[in-house]
Amino acid sequence: MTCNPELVSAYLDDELNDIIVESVVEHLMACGQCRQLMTLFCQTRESIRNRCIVPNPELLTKTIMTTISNEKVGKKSFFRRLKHAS
Amino acid sequence: MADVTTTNHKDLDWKLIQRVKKGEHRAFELLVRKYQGRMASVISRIVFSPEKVEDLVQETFIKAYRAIDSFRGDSAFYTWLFRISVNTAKNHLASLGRSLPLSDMEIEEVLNIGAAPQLKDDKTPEHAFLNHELMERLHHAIENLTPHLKKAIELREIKGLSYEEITEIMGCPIGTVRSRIFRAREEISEQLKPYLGGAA
Repeated sequence: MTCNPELVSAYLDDELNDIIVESVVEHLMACGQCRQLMTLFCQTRESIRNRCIVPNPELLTKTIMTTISNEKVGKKSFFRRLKHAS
Repeated sequence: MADVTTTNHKDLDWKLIQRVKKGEHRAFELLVRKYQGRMASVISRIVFSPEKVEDLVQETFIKAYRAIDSFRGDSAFYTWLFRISVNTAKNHLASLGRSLPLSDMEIEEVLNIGAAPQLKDDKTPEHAFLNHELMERLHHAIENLTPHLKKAIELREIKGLSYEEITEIMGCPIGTVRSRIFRAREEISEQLKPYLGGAA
């Protein structure tokens, strides 16, 4: 599937049929540009709904995901050490 | 009228969570992107420092990730995340020797009726985030949409209607509604981009 911003928009509204939604999720998992677009649309939605805007959503996402990745690496190392020790 | 079954939020999120549980942490990133703004809104009703709000949003998602195996899908992921964020914010207040100014129910109600007049007061903490310039640009962007696009986005984002309901009101096919909502979002986003801090 190639980039299709209209489907990203409909995905956020849960307005895609079951067949298409799987392809859109797969595409979002693989395409950084469309993930950023998803965030932009979410931010736009929050501002229209008069809600809070995260000042730098990309940085916040990156910080969260980096922490999680480091934790995963940490967990793996711990279990590896445990395995070697036994 | 839609001719195919659509998946709802709960199912969509549950599918992503199952992938997270299998170790695909990119699936968790999609949930972060989808809900970080809403969690910031929840927390900003409790904690008024924008920097602290971001820290607590981060903490919320990290706690959620650590506990993801215990999430069984009995409630919506958003509801579960909402509880984590409120508890995280409460713990923060408790660490400062303060208590929660609103009940959980009041916070949820406030978020569900985001357009309530009292919340439009510029003095509310939430508006510390939404600076005046952004609001002006947003208003300008919406006013400059063609009438069809403006109506479609207002019915969706302000009235909260489904595409099917919008189809009935606007008297056009569902594909046209989808396209109008997308084009409206695209035009508004383009105008707001400089104020949305690094998104896309």
